[in-house]
Amino acid sequence: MAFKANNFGLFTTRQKRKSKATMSDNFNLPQDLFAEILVRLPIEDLVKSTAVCKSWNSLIKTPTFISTHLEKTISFAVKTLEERRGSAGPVRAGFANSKTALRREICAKIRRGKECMPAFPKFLIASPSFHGGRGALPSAGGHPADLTFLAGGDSGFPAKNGKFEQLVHSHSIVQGMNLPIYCFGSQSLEEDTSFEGHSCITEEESLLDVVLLSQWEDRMRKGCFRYDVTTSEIKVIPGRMKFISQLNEGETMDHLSKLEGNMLPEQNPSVFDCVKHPEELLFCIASCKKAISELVTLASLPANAILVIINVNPVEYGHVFLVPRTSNTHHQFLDARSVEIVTRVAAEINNCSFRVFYNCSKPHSSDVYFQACYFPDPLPVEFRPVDIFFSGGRRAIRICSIIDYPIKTISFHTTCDLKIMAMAISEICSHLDEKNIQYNLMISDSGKTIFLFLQRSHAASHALSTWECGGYFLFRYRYEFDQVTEDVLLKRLRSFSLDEDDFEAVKQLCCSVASKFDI
Amino acid sequence: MDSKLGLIQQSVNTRYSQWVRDALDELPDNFTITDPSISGHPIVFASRGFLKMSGYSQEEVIGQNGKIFQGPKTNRRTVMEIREAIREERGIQVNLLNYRKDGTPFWMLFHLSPIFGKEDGRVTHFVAVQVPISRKQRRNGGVSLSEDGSGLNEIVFGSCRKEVCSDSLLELGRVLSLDSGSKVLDIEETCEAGDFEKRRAASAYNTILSVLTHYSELTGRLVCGKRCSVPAAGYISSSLNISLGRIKQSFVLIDPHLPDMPIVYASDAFLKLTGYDRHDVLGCNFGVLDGVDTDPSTLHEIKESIQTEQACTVRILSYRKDKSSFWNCLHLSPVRNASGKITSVQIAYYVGVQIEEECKNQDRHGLSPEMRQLSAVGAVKVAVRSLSMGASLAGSSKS
Repeated sequence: MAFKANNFGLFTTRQKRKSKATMSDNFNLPQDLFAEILVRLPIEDLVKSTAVCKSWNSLIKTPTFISTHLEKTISFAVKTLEERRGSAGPVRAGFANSKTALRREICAKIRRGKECMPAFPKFLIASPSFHGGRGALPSAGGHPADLTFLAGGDSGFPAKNGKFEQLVHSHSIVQGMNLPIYCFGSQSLEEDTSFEGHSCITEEESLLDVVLLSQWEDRMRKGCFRYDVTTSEIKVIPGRMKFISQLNEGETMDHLSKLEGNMLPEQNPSVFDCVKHPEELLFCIASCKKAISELVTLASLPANAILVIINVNPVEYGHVFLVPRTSNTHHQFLDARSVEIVTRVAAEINNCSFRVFYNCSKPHSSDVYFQACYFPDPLPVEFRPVDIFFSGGRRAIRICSIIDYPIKTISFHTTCDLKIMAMAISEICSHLDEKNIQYNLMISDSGKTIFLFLQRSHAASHALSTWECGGYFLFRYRYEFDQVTEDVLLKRLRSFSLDEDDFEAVKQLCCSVASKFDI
Repeated sequence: MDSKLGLIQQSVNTRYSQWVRDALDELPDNFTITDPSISGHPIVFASRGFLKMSGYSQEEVIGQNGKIFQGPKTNRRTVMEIREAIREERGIQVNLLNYRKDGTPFWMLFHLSPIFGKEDGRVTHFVAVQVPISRKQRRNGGVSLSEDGSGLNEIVFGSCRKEVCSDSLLELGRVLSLDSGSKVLDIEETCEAGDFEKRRAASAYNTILSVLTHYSELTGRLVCGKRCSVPAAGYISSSLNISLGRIKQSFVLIDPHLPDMPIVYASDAFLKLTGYDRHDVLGCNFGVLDGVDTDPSTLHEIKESIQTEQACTVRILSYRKDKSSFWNCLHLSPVRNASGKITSVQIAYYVGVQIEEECKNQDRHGLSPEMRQLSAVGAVKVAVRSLSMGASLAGSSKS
């Protein structure tokens, strides 16, 4: 508790701001002392402080400062969160997410302070000074095509936004790293070709599948994860739903050791810290102008890329965060581009075990991110009978409601036009956001099927994770794992489900949005 | 590709002798036979009726996966149900929309059944019988149907769900409906097979099974339609076979629970690398690759890592079947399964992934051999963790 007061409760922000203006001119405090003070400011004030004077501005924007501040804020917030939650509910696997959400919120807030910031040189990220000279830019054997997305990608960054984020990433990731980047071939990005045709015929592992599995296995060997998820037991719970449960003791053991060793969570942040844990970034996914997808090494991050970052508390093998770095201003909504690109990732991986998740239920979340992992078996929801209530003509999009499932669920299917499906889904989701309906998305079947789980608008902290919606439950303790019955889980899912009337409304919404796109 | 076609030839010939093809070709039904133990779960036999129905030639179909007949309107869920049935090694009967070579869709009753080896209880093949479902003809403007045919269809079928008593009349109607050329079918609507289709599929399956059983007597490797014996330890189920078949790296699985820790699975790439046939290495100890100049201390290292259940990477001199040697960058890793019965999680297999050192350059996609090796370990870990591995055997022992 005392720690808390030191961190933030020292002054009210108003007092601080007043004092600041004079401080910078009149006091000859050493730079590091300033940093020490500023690092304690809440993020909003920090953003404003960049406008105070040049020295503060540059100080606040140094990567070390940013990371120190992030660490402080997160450790503090996590601590409060843990105190508040205690040992909440039986299922704790979603815990990492709340930390992630926090971090994203913070990053976004820095970004939102854009108005106060002076304009940065436009292509800072590609300028030599930021990654150790031009020579380091294209890797040996790099192609001219690589440079196209360095220079702003296809759409380019809106000048007023995204700069700070760019800065954060360019500083921290670039440091001496050769970043593996998976480039989507244009062939795979074209509509109506690979998605429908040969991609389903080739039974071989795809390149992206190989890249993801190898990078994940590599991190596993290096001990980047808190536990080996393959040692946790899974079983089918008897009953007609065939729910799957996993005993994830790794989480428990970690929890205990943390208490015993008096290690604070900030020493083991479960989210990507680009400075401290560069190894948690597996690779990036970006689109390129070439026909065939390939893996290249670049010294800096292309715009509009997806960062693939490990989740150190994996729910299943291959658990990663997929963080789209788009320049979109509507961070709170799922934009069509993000949905499309992750669906393409699923299609390109072309492995029926691979699933992508999206939880909308992040409190005041600001940044869109997805999670993904390999489930060796299909999830129970995928087996439920369906009722087709919309079937598009030319686009061949089908929308079904899942019958006889405890949580209200809609599934979207397409085999040819993934872009339209992504656009439709993101529009549906933005309507759901407006109506304060909580939802989760799950992309399965190599991008051909997307499930939309509808939850009632609870307090944001209590919401089901997407895998729970799909029928995959995690337990921390053996007695819970042994004793759980289908009834308990059915009840749990039902208690979160949207009610019948709202569900009908959502179905109508889906139909109207889909028919708008289905020309 | 030649080696794969060879495997496909063998798949039929060694089990049922080469004469079985003629016998199967005599049958009027539409069906395919697939082999789950070959990577990609390819079609190893397609009947004449099937080829006629689908519009493909024999060469185009053999070696392909059944997926090639699916298209945009094929119900993904049904496809998944079939996939699950295959993984669990059980039969299934579903209505499925498939596509002909010219792209026209058609509904059919898809009846899939596994064929088991009598003595070892392994799934040797799957038989897929496909009965086209005729359906209500819609008299859309501009479609010229023979007046008689369409009239009969209207009367007899009513709807495709309607049960019909006279098989012969139905058969007549079917012939007419199939002959009536270009039809505009409302393909959206799910079409359900009636009793007639179901009976026809079941009888076709029985005929095929009896042919296969009969011809398997010629080779002495008997098959049957039901699992007669529980597979011996070290059995790799179809589901695992199919999952592992996707992995294009050279690797083997070793079962540490069996005496002498034999190889229970060897990938195609492994066989290509070492020159062995699959039946040469299955059941052998991993030491099959060792030779005179193999360093005993490296072997000791491998043994130790197995005892301590640790992964290890070594560089070891290995020998092919023709006694030529190569430097082998071997990675050995424990792989755990998901079976919930045992208190401590059991290690199911060891995966050994080989890379020949001479060909250690990057491939055209920018992947290093190390990455390929790691990805193989990852893919095996996911595959072995599947719950359906145990499910098929548990199911069969119950029934």
